[in-house]
Amino acid sequence: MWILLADMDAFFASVEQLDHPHLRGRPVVVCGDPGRRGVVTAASYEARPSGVRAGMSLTEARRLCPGAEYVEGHPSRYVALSLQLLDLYLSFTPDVEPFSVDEAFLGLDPKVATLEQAEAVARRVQSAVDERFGLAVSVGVGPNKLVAKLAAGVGKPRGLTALDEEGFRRTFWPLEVQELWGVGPKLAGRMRSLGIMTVGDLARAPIQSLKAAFGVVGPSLREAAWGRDDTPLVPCHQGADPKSMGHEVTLSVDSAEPAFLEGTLLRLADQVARRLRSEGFVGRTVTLRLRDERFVTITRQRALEGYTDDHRLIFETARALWRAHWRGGPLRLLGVSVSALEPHGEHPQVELFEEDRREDRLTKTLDLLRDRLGEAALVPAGSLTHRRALGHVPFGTHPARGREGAE
Amino acid sequence: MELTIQQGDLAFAVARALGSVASKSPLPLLSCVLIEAEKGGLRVTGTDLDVTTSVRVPCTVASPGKVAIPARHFHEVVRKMPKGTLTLAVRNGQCQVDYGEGKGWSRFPVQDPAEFPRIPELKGESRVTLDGATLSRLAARTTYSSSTEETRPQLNGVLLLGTEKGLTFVATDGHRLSRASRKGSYAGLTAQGIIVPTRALQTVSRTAEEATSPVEIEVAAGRNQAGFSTQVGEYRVQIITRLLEGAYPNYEQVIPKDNPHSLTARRDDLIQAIDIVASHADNVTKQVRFSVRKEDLGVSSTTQELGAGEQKLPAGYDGEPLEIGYNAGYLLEILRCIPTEQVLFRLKTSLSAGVIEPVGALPQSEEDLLCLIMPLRLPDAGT
Repeated sequence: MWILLADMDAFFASVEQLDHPHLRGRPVVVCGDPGRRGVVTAASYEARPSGVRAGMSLTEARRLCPGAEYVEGHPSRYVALSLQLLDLYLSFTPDVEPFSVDEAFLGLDPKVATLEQAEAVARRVQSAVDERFGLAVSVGVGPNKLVAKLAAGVGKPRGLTALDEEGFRRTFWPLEVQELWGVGPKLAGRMRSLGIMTVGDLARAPIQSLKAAFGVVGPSLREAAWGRDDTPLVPCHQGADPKSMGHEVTLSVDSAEPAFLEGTLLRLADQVARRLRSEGFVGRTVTLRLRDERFVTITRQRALEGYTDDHRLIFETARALWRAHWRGGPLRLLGVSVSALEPHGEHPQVELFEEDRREDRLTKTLDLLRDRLGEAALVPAGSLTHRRALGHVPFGTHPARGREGAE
Repeated sequence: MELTIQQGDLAFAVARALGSVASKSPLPLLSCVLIEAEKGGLRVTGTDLDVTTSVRVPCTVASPGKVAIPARHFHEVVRKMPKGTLTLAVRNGQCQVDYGEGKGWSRFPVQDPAEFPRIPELKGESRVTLDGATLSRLAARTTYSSSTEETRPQLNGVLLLGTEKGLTFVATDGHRLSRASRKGSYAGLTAQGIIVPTRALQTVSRTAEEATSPVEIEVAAGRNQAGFSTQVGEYRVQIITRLLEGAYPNYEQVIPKDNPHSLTARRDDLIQAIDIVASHADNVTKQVRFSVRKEDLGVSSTTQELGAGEQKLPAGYDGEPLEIGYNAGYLLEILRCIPTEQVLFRLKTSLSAGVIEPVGALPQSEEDLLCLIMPLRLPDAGT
C-alpha cells in the first residue's frame, strides 16, 4: 500500500496571506503578539531567505528581516482549515491520519499498484488543495510513513516526490544523517563521533555497535536508514470525540514476572498519557484489562477524583488495580485505557510545591523531545523491563504544539 | 462458643467493625468480622489490613471461643432483630443466634477464625489524649484537602503533630492546603508528627464524635502504626491504622507570610455566589474568576457549552484591581469549613498562593485555622 504525506507549505503564514491580500508576495512572520517579546510561529517563504525560522525570538527575526510584516496568528482559523483539509483528503481515501495541524498521512487503496499511479493521486491531491483553498501543499509518496514523510520534505514548496525503498536510498543515503526522521542534532553529533556521517553510513553500520551506542533505538534507526518502517497508519474518523483511549499488548511470551508486568503497565500508561496530551484530552476513569493463559479476561476500572493526562497517575491507578486483581498466574495480555474523556488544553492549575512544578516542566519538555525524536527516543526507565521493540505511538499532534517549524 | 448479649450491644459492635471491612476483597476472610467471646465481654473486629476496628461490648459468656462471620450479611440481620437478649452459639460449623425469647433464630455459615488476620498488637511508644469533639473538629477542617491520587502516598493522609504548645492537623493535595491547630500540651504526638490515612482518620472521627471519654492516641515505636482508643458509653472502641510513610512536604515554607492585599467578604454570600456561578464553569477545571476591586468582588464563569454567569458582592479590598481564577470546588470546600461570618483572603498576584482565614476568633478561641489555595491560570493572563 502506498502512503502519502500531505504537508502544507508555510501553513500559518500562507493562511494569513490568503486572508489578507496585502500580505501576498511579501515576507510574513506569524507570531503571538507582535507588540510583545515572543517567538516566531511561522515564516512565509518570502521571509525565509533572510534566515527567519520558526522558534526564533522575535527580536532576532526583526534584526534579520526588518522589512517583514509581523502579524498575530489566528490558531482557531488554522485548526478550522486543518479540519476542512482532512475532509478534502477523506474524499480521496477513507484512511486519513492527521499527523499535525498541517500534515496528514493518506493510505491509498491497494488497487493503486505502482509508484507512478500513487504519484498521480498525489498530484490530484495537490491541485484539489490549490483549487479549493488557494494553498500550496507538498506531498511525499512512499511505501511507508517514514519514506512518505521524508519525501515530502524534499522539494518544498509545492514539492511532489515519490520514492520507493530503492529511490529513498538513492536520494537519502548521500545526505547527512540528521536528515533522517528521528535523528536530531544531538543524536547526529554522537553518530558523527562514531564516523556515521550520512544516512548511508548509518544503513551500513553494524547492528551490534549501534545497539551498544544507542540502546534499543539503534537498530530501529538503522532500519529507518534503509527506508523501512512498519508503523501502522491509524485512520482518524473525525467528527466523533473519542470515548476512551487505550493501549494493550499481547506479550510475546506469557509472563508471571511482577517486575516485567509492572514495566509493561508503565509503558502502556505512558503511551496512553502521551496520546491524551497529544490529542488534547483528560480523562477520569482508568481501566485495566488482564488476560491469562487460558484466555480468561478481566476488566477492572477505577474512577479518579479529578481528570488527568499524567502517566504517573494513570500508571499508579492501573498498578493498584493490577495488584488487587492479579492472582499471580501467567498473563498473556495487558491493557490500560482511560475513559470519561473531556477535551482539554493547557493545565491552568498552578502547583503549590516546586516539586510538582518541576514535574510539569519535565513532562512538557519530554513531550517536545519525543515529538521531535520519536517515541522510542525517551521512555520511562521502568518500562525498559519490556524487551520488545518499542513501537511508535501513532497519533496526531495537538494543534497547540503545531509543527510549522519542522518543515 | 456460647454467650448471651443485648441486641443493641451486638448491633453497635458489628456496625462499627463493619466500618473497617473491605467492601470488595479477594480474600473471603477479609469480608468477615471476627467475633471473640472472652471473659465478661465480646470483642468484634473488622479489618481491611490497613485499618482495624475492634469493639468490646459487655456480654455474659457461657463458654469462650471465637468465630469469623461474613460481616455485611451478619450486620443486616442482627440490625433487624428485636431489642432484648440474644443468645449466640457456634455448633456444627454454624453460628446460631436466638432472639425474641426463643421465638426466632438465624443461622450463619462461619469461617475458620484461625486464618483471620492477626489483630496488630500496638506497642505504643508515645501517647497523647485528645478530647473527641476536638479531634473530629480538627479532622473536618483538614481532611478534605488531602489527596486521593496514588502518585504521592504521603499526601493521602492528614499530618498530626504536637508540641508542648499545641496540636496541629495539616492536609494538602498540592493545590490547596488546610492547617487547623489548637493550643495546649500535646508533645506525645511529637513535632515530627504522624501521617494518618484520610480514610482512617474519618473512621476515628466518627467514633470520636460520640466518645464519652477522651481519645487516647498511641503511636508505635516504628511510627508505622497508631491506635486510637476511646469509650462510647459502656463500649470500648479501638481503631488501629497503618501510618503513611515518606516525608511530608515542608508545608510551612509554602504558606506565604507577606501577601500584601486583604479581601474580606461575607462567607455565606460568597458561598452562594460561587455555587451559582460555578454551574457555568468548565467540567474539568471548575474555573471561576474573581474580579477583585476596591468596593466589590465579581465572581464569574464562562464556557461555550454551559453559558456564562456573574455575581457581584460587597467586599473590602485594599490593593490594586486583581483578576484571579480558582477551582470552585476547592473554594467551596474551604469556605464551608470556616465557621466565622466573614472570611479574609490574603492575596499577592493572580498566580501566587492565596491564604484564606476566618475573620475574628473561632467559636473555640484557643483554635486556629488557615487555608491556602493555588489559583488557576486565566486564559487571558499570559504566563
